[in-house]
Amino acid sequence: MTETAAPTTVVAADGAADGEAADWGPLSSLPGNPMMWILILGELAAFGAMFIGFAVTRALDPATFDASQAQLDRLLGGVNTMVLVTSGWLVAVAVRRRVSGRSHRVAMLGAMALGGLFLAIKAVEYGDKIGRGLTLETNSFFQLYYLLTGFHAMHVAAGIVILGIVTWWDSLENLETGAAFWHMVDLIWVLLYPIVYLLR
Amino acid sequence: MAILTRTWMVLMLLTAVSMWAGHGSGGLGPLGVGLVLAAANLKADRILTHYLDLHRAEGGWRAGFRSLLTLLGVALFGIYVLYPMIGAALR
Repeated sequence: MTETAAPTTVVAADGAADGEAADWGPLSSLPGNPMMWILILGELAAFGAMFIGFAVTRALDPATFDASQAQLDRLLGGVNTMVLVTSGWLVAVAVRRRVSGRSHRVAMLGAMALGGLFLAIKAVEYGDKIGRGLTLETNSFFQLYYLLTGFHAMHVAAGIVILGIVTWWDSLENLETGAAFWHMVDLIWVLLYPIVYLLR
Repeated sequence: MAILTRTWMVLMLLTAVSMWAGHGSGGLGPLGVGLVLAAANLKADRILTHYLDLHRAEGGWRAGFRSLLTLLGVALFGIYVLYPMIGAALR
């Protein structure tokens, strides 16, 4: 398939320029709305700092962290990674189909459904932990576990809404912008899963 | 479209590798920690390159994101491998 560069400039919000494109400098070559990339950079910086904080906190109390981590369901976390990765693939396919003028809605709806499945699996996981008395107050591991995974789950929920909006208002720029947010959510999870569930 | 599907297959395979490397009880050791982090880093790079389409972007964006991910991976590797020293120094 031909790699078609998307329009990456936006019209000035105040309309004063009447069709004159805003200059986003180096951000102009990125796909979708440059404002989304500013958000992506900010989110990656915030989660990156939280991941380092998680690792340093573990270094202070490895026994508690390792014993607590053993209470997590690593298989379920891995399955959820595969669910989100598959959802990201469907969104990428939807953008390519939109570029080539084909229908993208089935792929977008599939991606949203898988996002919903991710949240459902996460809810099952939370229900299991809370049922066993493992809550925010248990210890520092579970505080960070709920903080990191909960913050990420909020992004997944917001992402599903954004995907729904750009599926309906489906200009290429809208679709690329929504897709960029979804891939950012995907990207953060592929880093979060090994740090919280696997590394010890 | 084929590159997207190939990327998806690589991401699924790397997830399976992470799950295999991280399963069981006890510490992973430097090799296991390195393998899990390398798989995560490679997955993040594939998502940035092919799903976020950074291969199309100009001005070193891909190299910049790649450098950030590498820095994060190296920092995490160092913390997990050197945690007895870090813990002792911070206590």
